[in-house]
Amino acid sequence: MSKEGARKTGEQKTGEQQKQRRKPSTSVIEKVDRIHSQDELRIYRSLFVGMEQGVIVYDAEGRPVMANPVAAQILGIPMEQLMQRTPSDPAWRMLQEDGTPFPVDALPVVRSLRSGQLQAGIVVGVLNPKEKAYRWLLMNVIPSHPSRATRPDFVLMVFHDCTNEHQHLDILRSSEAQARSRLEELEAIFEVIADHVSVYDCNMHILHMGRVLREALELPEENLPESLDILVKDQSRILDEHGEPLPRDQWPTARILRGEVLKDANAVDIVVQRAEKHDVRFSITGAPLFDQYGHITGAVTISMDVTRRRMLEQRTQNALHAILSMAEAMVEERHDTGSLIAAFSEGENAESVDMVRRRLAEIPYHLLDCERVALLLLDPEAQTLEPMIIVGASPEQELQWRNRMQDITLHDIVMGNEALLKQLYQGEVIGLRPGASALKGSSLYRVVSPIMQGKQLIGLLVIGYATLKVRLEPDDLSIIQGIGRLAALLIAREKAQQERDQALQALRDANEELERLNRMKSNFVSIVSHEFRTALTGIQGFSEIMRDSELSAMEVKEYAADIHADARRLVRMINNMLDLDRLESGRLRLNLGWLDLNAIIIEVVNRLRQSAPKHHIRLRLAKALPIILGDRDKLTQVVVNLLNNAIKYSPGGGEIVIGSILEGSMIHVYVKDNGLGIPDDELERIFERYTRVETMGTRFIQGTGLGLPIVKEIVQLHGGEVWAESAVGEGSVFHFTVRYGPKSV
Amino acid sequence: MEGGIEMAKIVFCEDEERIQKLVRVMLRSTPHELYLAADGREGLALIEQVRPDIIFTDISMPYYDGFQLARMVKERPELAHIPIIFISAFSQRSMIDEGYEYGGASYLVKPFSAAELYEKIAAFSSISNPDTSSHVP
Repeated sequence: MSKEGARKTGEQKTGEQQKQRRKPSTSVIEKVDRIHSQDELRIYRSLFVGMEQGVIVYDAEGRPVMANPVAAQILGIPMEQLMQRTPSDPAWRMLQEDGTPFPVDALPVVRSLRSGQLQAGIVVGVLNPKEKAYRWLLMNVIPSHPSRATRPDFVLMVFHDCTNEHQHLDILRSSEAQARSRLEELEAIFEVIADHVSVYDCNMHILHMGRVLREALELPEENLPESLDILVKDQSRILDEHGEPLPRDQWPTARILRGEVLKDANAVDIVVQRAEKHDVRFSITGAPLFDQYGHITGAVTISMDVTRRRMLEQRTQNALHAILSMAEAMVEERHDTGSLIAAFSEGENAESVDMVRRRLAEIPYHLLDCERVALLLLDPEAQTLEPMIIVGASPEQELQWRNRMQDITLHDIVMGNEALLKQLYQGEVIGLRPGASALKGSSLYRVVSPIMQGKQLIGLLVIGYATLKVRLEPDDLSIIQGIGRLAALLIAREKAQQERDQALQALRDANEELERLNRMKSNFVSIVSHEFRTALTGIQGFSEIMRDSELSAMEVKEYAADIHADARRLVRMINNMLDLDRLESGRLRLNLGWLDLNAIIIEVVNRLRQSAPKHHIRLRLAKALPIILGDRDKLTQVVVNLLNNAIKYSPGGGEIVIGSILEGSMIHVYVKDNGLGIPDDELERIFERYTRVETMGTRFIQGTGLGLPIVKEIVQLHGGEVWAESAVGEGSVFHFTVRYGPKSV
Repeated sequence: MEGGIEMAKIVFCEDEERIQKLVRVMLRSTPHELYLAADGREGLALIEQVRPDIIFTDISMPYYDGFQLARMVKERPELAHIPIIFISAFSQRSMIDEGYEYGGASYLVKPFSAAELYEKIAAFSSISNPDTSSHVP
């Protein structure tokens, strides 16, 4: 409060004080000089007391002689103290105008006492102990010389409070400093900008070319092309931001010369394409220059070299795109396998695996400044590498690469360099010069990163650079290592997928097998019911006739025999079915005894000849066949079934040959007919249960399809094999062997 | 046909001898004329020669099976009007449907009774009789 109060008083005074600042002092000096009488002294004293300036009079030794109340008030010290303080009293706290402590020797009073000179217009900061703040005083010290002596006998210090003015001054000073620094900044900025600024006249002649543009285009400072047209004609082409040629009237400078202002969002990206040099990309802003009549006289452009920035932006974008694509491919794949079996398709799957691999390889391809990225899979057992994917190669190059990578080993990659091999196994990234590897065939420098799964090396990530990277940037290295880890995950994922696919395939196979068995069973039921119904037709029909008709004893006997024959046929079929079931379930035991296979064949042929009048059955039996240990009834059944088939499937009659051959420890029996024959695709299935060859030509043939499966089971029980050869329209040969040697059955 | 059975000419194709015999015995006491064939080829020749009122045929036969025979009959304008009745031990629906697709008029599943056989003859023999119907081939 007191501080504010004091300041307000000061402010009120300011106007008058400034007007009176010098004049009253002069008059005081004159008056003091002339003090002679006590009266005059009294008058001056009252004047002195009433003055608005602070006044202190010091004698030649610097002791205060007198002071007026205003002085005490301004300085904030009681009059008694003030009268005891010399100018050099350490109790004073005084500052110079710049804020530093006032050296005692430099104090105006001290100077004036020493020199006898007038000290005028000096600003002194004095700490006002009451206000605990500095007051700024504008001070004059006037020496009083007796006659012409150099040293004054006293000095008069006159001062007034100029704290407010001082503050204004401060503000003024600081704003001046600010303005100066702003100016410096502006100058600095302009200096920088000037580097980017180019000036053209209205014909695109180059009046000034900024350093940045000049250096980016590698133009000599002394010998700049005369105009933009010459510059472009000489060595470059100007393309738009998408790489399409930009017609002259669309050049930024041309647009500016037509009055356009290019700034902020209107900034134009151009690419300057130069023969045998890197493309340079600029972002151009600018404005036209006008004369006093408002005509366009030229253009000022600011060109920023954004080659690197745009490249990085592009790369980041590409990499992001690649990552997204990879994620998409993985998600799509997952969709595909949503339905367990229905959507499973091997072809599509392989395609999507390839897609994900490609996307993965595209990430480093976009992020690193490289020419090629390849992924190789390591076969841990053979130590060979399998090419997975390559990015950055033409289709022909890719084909060559795949050929070159066939059966290549890890050893080949490093040309047998054990140290490098060790580094790879330890998960370290290595570098290879062109030709320093079996990856030769191109001139690329390579950085090879191992793909590790845990501590196991499972593949390689190979980055090909056109130029030697003396040292990999830490960023690049971490990208390469990161991609290596991603690749490891991908490979693990593919492996899991493969296993899943195999499981699916097995499931599908099992399903197909079940379906096939099911079809066979239906087929079997249909065939068996057909055979039963056929046999039952005679049984039912003849018994009906016997019931409903008056028949002779002869007729009754005859029909009963017919019924009996069909009934026997039914029994035979049922027995066959039961036999096969027992054979297949291993419950059938052979009734073993010594037998002669030739004798069995002759017996069967004799029996069947009667029922096959159209056929000529010939025997070609080996002489002196050894007797074997076997089941007489079962082996008889084998011969019957084969011979019956031969008769049934040659409905036109013809020759049937049955023969036996001794072959080592086996007896080989064959039955050959000239019948319908069996198509190749059926041939392998005829020994399976419930299979009957169903074609238009064979549909009429009676049979349950159980004959051959029974043959197969019995022959196998006798340590032999059964097979057939056939040609449609020419006939079939059925073979079986039986072991006669020591092997027990 | 008043009170009695009208005589019909029947061609019966059947490769099983015992069933041939059964049919012969079943029709012995009827006025019908029965012509038996042991396979499809023989059957077709017989049909062309006899021009029956009705054809019975088995499906499983040598040379031409029943369906092939039916197709060949239906392809000949002079025979196409003769009703064909399949008579087979195949009892599944698909086989019966196939019979109708080949132009069969009816289907008789084995085993069959004499009464069923007579019924089919009665039902179908008049259809093809040129005296009683003005058929269009």
